[in-house]
Amino acid sequence: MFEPGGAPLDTAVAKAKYEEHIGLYRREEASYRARGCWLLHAEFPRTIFAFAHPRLKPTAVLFGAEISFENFDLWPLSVKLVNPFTGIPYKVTELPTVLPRAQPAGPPVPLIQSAPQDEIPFLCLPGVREYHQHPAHTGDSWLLHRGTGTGDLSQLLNALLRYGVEGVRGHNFVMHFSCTGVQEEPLP
Amino acid sequence: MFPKRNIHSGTVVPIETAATVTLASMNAPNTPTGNQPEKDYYLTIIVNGVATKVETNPNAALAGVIAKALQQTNNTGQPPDNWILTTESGTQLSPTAKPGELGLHSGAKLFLNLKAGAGGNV
Repeated sequence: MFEPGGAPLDTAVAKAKYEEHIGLYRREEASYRARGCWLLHAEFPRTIFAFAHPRLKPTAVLFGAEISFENFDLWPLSVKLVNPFTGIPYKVTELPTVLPRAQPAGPPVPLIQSAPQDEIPFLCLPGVREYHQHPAHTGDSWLLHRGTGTGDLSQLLNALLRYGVEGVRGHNFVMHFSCTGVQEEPLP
Repeated sequence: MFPKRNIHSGTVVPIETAATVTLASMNAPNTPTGNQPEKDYYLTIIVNGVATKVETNPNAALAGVIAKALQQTNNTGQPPDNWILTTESGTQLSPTAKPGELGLHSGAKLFLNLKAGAGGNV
């Protein structure tokens, strides 16, 4: 359903939706920026956001996210975590975070998922294109969510902020000590 | 009808209007935030990016504000329980909390966003 070139929406319609959502973001841009969400690039249909932690010292840019409005909202938005400096999607082994979400019981669930055969992980949430096109979610069609607010740019940015930024408590340090011998003072 | 001079502003207003203003002022309830009438207390709610002004009472639970904001922005496809109300800095607010207790001044901006649905399973 979401294959490139398949059942495309009129570009003018998709572009109008894109401009509407980016316009809503711009109206609240100062609030987003204060929380650590910065719009780095916006050229239809592609946007790149950076997510930084505003209270860490030194400040840290944690990750980037590419959100594509291709055929939106006939198709849901596509969300991939990317390197904010290069725009290149992270591979599973390169992920700076898996967006852990606490559960009432049991260990946290990572919202960033990938199938074993997939190299590029994705945000596994209803309202995200990669979620709906995954074979495990064929029973949860995007059309059941479309127009309800699920999958809006605002909702997805808030999910990325909540699980990717607001749960961060500090820098993680790892120190290694190794013994290479003894200290000697030559005696007369 | 004879006009009446408003002694404070010096403007001339019809008697009915002057009487209405006087009665309305006498009946206006006071709030714990001072002598501000309740009708002037409002919160600005950004619902999934769209701003709406919700008139409320500093002593009324935020659940009513959530319901009104959703109604005013035609976001009726999801129950109110599926939405999260936060401050500008991202702090989550309980629907049972009252704006007066939280120290929210009239016009304060809050954000109402859909909770992320059940995910993380493939």
